Amino acid sequence: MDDVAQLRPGLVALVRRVVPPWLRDHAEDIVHSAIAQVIERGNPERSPSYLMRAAHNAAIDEIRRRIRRPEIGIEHDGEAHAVQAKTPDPARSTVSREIDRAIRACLAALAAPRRAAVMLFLLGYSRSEAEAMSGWGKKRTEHLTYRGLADMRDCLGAKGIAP
Amino acid sequence: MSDGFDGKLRDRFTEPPWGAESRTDCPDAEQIQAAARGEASFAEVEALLDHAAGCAACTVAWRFTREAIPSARRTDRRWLAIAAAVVVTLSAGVVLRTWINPPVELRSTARDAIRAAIPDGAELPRGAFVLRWTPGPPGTRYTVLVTDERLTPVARGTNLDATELRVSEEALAALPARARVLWQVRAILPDGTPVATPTFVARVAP
Repeated sequence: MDDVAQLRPGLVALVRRVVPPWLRDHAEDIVHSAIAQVIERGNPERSPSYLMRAAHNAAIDEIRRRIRRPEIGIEHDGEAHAVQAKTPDPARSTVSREIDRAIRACLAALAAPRRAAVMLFLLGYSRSEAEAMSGWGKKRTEHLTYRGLADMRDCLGAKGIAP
Repeated sequence: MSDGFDGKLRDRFTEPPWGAESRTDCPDAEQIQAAARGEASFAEVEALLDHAAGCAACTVAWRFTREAIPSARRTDRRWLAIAAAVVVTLSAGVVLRTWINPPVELRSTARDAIRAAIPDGAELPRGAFVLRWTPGPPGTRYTVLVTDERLTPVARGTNLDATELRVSEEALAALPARARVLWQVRAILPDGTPVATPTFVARVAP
């Protein structure tokens, strides 16, 4: 059990770093739920690498669950509250969702290899990492990323959207 | 925030707003981790990226994986050895109890959620450290996990039909006065629906 508990500080910091601002205050809760799931599953394999991977899987699932259903926060007063305390105001929130929708629509419209290259770029992979993952080679990786981002700029521009 | 179109686009994309669209047919977290580790073919990676392109939840899942495995490169797996070595040095003392419970998508809706029936942060005496929660529909079964702040388990109740769990003095013996105790209820409703509460806090009274 101590093995699992040792993962907590790093996991909380990681969750806080990667989730959107509106979910950041829930990092502790997300990690507690994730680690509880690992404990509950009680897999007899308890190697440190297994525990780390299992905890990461559970954290990913917990984060995804909360992003899919952001309206389900339950507070102690017994009322349901949207967990959007960090959302500045409804109008801005609506605009942000429109921008997000437009970005995803433009990604969907990209040709497949450009989409993969742009996705890797957006997710923070370096050119050399993308090259290693895809096997495209340096020039092709650069070209696909460059052209893909140019397509994104055009597509969003046509929608009147600036990120 | 990053400057320029590319940076702003990256910031916007990786921090989806509240209510952003997500899909429900998402890949297993394990698949995303495997892809990030270079353990999947690029065709599989492309399929996962295509999904994430249209799914805010999986975008953040990828970001998590990317950050968790900073050298998630098929050409460099030194992180595996490093991570294993670091974690191996950590305490390997207490054994996880076997409690087979298949992973399920837990629900927690305003309509049917279970919630704490004691104030958050309440100080409870060691001799009467009773955690209580509101009941679900008749026939609901509850499982409660109680941990200290480091998430080391303190007590557990499984398959309960009562809506309270008494934590023994022995279980609390190692905790100092005013120590924070975290607890969470997971319930199975009579129709088989799993429900999870947020994590609640109680304190050990001096």
